[in-house]
Amino acid sequence: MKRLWVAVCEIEVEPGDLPSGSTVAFSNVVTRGESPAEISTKISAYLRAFNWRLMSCESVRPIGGGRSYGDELNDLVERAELHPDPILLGRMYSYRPNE
Amino acid sequence: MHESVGGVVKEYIYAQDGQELSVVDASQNLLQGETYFGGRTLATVGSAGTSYAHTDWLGTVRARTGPAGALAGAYTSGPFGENLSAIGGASSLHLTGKYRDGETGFDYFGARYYNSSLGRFLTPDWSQAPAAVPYANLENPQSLNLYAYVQNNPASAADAEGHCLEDACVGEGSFGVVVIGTAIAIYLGTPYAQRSLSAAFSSAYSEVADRLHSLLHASTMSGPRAASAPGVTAGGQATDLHGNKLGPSGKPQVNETESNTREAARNKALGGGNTAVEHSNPKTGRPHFHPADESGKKKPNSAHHNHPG
Repeated sequence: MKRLWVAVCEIEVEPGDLPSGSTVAFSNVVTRGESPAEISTKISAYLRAFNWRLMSCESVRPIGGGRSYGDELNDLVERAELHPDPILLGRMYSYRPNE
Repeated sequence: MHESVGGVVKEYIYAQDGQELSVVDASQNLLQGETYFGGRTLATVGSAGTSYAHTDWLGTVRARTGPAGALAGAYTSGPFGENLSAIGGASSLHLTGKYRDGETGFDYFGARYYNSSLGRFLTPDWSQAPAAVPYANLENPQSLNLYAYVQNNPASAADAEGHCLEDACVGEGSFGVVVIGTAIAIYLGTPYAQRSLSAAFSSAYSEVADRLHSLLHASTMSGPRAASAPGVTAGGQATDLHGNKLGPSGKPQVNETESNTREAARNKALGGGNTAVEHSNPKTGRPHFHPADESGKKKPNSAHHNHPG
């Protein structure tokens, strides 16, 4: 089975998809893959299904066994380990681009 | 549900949302069968034949007629369903079409029993996900009363399943259509139902089934439900194929933290939700994180935290 990776992704969503009304946000995404390029492609394809757009992916890194990442990431990793094909989005850290 | 009173056994068969479908005896002979459409009781098949329900705007049964249109029963009660008086044949379905237990007089709403003489439920409201006050709406203090029936507004509102007002629960409306369809499908699949439905009734039922099919199709298109979604969490919430919980729109459920600037939002994400700021160009050492203050700025002379992974 491919290993788990985590990436910090900047995502553009449709108006009304975020409670604040913002349409851009950063989010930690945990998925399986073999390379950072594959991870980005996979996440981008997944987001397109909701008319969302992957603007960028950074800090793409493999999940190390037994390492602690903080509450939010630990929860994502725990859920991903139990799923055969995870693409798990974490909390959306939104901002308003014009403010 | 099994009932034995004075040696007389009755088995009550309910749909998922608590609507009574059939009552059979110990030998599985049909004593009574109920049919619903659009969440409302439509007709009852019993030993006296088929009777059609006539309801008020909330679905409370006010009269019944036979196949020829003759009056078979008339029912009056107060807004909370209290002081029920019947003329003619009895009806086990009354307040908003819910089953009224003949022995206790309580109305069965699926999630809870309701006492019409008190105008309140017998037990406090509850939700699948633990909550201090389930289904609370802080703009309406009546919602904080966990025993209240339809937030004490019984002349204008109905309760679909014993939890809250119709359409006040997220997804309850269209989910109800799915449940009703399932209920009728279950009912039609039972041998006693098939034995008992008359030809005339089948014709009417066919039209209802066609309408239901279109409603069911519409409801599945309006958003995922736990029953139809690819996955489901331990708490019963729908997920997509990749494990994300789905919101009512069919898109991943979003938990959001707002920031004033792009950099602050990015740093929060890089910090895995911790209030940390990335020190990407340190004078010494490799890029790392520092604890951040409330505005998202690096705390001076604070501890270094290396990148995760």
